[in-house]
Amino acid sequence: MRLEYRKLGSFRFISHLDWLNALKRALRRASIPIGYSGGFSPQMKISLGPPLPVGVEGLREYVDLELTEVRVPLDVVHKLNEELPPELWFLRCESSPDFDIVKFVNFSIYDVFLSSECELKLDGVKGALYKIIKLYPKVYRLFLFLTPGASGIVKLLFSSGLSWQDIFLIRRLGIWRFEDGKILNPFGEVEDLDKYIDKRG
Amino acid sequence: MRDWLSLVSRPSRYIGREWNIPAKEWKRSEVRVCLAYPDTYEIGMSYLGYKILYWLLNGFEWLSAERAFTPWIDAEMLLRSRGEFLRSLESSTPLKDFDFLGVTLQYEMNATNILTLLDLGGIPIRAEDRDDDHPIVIGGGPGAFTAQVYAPFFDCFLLGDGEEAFLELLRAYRDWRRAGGKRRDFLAEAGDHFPWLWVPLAHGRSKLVRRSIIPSLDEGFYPKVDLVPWTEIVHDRVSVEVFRGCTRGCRFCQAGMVYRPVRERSLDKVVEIAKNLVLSTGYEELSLTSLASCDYSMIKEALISLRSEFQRLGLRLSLSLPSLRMDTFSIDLAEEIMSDGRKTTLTFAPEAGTQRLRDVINKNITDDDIFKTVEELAKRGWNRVKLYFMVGLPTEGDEDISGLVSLVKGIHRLGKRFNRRFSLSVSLASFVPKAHTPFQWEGQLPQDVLRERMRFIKSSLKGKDIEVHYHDVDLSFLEAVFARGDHNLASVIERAWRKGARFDGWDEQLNMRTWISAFSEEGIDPYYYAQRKISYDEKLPWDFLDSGVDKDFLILEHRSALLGRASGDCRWDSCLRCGVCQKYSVRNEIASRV
Ligand code: SF4
Ligand code: SF4
Repeated sequence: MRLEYRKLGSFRFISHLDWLNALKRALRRASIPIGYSGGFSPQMKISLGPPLPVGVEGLREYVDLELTEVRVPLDVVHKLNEELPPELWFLRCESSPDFDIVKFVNFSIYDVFLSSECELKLDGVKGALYKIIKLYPKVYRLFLFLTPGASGIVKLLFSSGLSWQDIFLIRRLGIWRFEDGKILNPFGEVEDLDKYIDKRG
Repeated sequence: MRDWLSLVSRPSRYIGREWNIPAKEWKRSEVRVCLAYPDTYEIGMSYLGYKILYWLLNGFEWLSAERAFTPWIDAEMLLRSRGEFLRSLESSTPLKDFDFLGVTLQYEMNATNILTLLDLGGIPIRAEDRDDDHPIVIGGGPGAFTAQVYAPFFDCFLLGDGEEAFLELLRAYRDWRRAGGKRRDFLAEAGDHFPWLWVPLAHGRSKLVRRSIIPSLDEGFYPKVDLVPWTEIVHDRVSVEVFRGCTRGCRFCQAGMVYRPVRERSLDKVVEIAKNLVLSTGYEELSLTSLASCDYSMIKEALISLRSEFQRLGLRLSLSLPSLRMDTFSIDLAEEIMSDGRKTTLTFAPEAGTQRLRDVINKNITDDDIFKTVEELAKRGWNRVKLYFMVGLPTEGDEDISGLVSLVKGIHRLGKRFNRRFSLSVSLASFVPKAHTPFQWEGQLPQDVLRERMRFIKSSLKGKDIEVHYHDVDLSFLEAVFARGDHNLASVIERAWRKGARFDGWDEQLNMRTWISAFSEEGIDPYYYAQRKISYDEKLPWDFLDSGVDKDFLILEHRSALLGRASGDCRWDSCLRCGVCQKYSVRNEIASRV
């Protein structure tokens, strides 16, 4: 199953690995039957999508689970949400498309809220940056290509001279695949990104 | 609220809101307690006693218990630079606004972190400077048995088992407040009333402070749930305390003296608690904890029933025991735990290298036990073993050091013979003489001697693919200073803290120069505290803190040590009349005997 969730507020400070452990415990509390790998130290069959850097919020993040029994997708979402705070709620659950999320996605959108009034200049980052929009004073929306080996959003901002002192919040709006002029979300559906380009979207 | 989180290392230790956190109107309870742990979140959250109190106190409507930990140095600086107070995790209340600040005294070298908690929390660090608006600062935990060292920083100390006593104290406080009494007046009153409470400003060292003892764990409180942190903590698992106290009588061990007698939990309770904790937290690992869990009389039954119980529930669970005894029974237990075939590292603590020295310290295992155990575990396919030894034990001579080397070599050879992949790691710590033990009259060896002995061991084991680690000798030296300290040391702690000493128990944080200058500026000779032998007739600074164990018994044990005579264990041999059971009307409670 592929699930979509969010990670907000102070929970954005949970590292990728810690979140994986927290999620495993939530799944156990919710009695959702997850498969285990074989071998000497069996691992829950669960894999998170591309990591969010510590301190970055995510509105639409993804995780794949392998269940040992068939469950109603919405049921899984409800049960899991009972075991997690609203900032870490699951929003959607579908049977997994047959592609690996991490390899699939190549595009992402971030909002960056600066704490001080300064122009965001991203000179050093040509290749990765597709588009940048100034939404409001101090708020920028960045459209980035995710290429293997490319530095993450935080490094990118840092390399253009910012530090956490200057950043109030970074939020990832989502991750997609940009292919043949189309945009696909991690469930494999075509999406229109115009709403993200419109200021009020 | 905490907009500084992106600016510090490991921010997830400050976010709180762990799963299962009680839904309370924190700010509206009649009595508000903050349980403060003078170390990082990851360490404090791993300490069982702290969490038992948390859940116990939060079970009452009129009472609430929140948490605070010493922030790491970067976070402290940030809070200071912004003029912000240290706040509780639950309701973000500055520590100064609580009724009580309960500080866990677990480790000597947390002392400076206590001052950070107080100062950053907006509380004057010395009790004499506090008034009715400040919380009552109370210390508890093992460190309360050497409370004289920290006395100026505390309003009172609770000696012994904290659960029932603390609750009783808080109830009395509630009633006192209801009757319109003042906070500071309550202290003196309570100090007169509760035998286990020491109020330094009221009593000086004139009161014989008695220990609070819970006679039976089954009747005492144990939480049904536990917090599930959002970040990895040191003991990242749920724990069931299978017994409290230990009567093995190792002569260097303070816990083995001050927590007597042994009080075991019944098998049914252990299983019931384990079930509650695992189901409510989703943890994948459960630990049966105590000072020496292999000694639990129902240990094998416990492991077997836990396994079948969780199998029945369809839940995978790994079990763990904190440390193993050196005998084949323990290997059977280890086998029982590792039902999934995983053979992790086995850890043992022979503590000394020769039979003679083990008799001196009363560690009742023989070379024969050791070799049999190693042979057995190697045969059964375990290949990683870790051994703990102490260096600088009383009466230790060159032959003991070379004996240690040949013991380790022997173990290594034997292990290799039965298992080609056998590997050994050895950890060496300096002996620290502790108050309330038979070795409280002994001194610690000078640091260069300890270093020399450790170096000798390490070089003698070189090239054998045996890993040798040793604890920082300077750190052990400071531990020894405070382990037998008196009231004069508080000013040294304060001075070192003012000079920037923080998290001194963390090897990379310890700055010896800071401490040495703090000692010299206070005109205190640390070597006197750490290294001198004390005579039996000298009055000891902690004599008025009564663990229940008679001084005469400690003297007797010390004399037997010097004669190389081992003593038995009153659980299965006769009572040694240490004094606790007679004085406190308690006895060893053994689960298999009821
Ligand atoms: S076995 Fe020895 S060292 Fe361990 S707790 Fe008991 S007395 Fe202390
Ligand atoms: S009084 Fe006797 S039975 Fe009780 S702890 Fe001491 S030695 Fe053991």
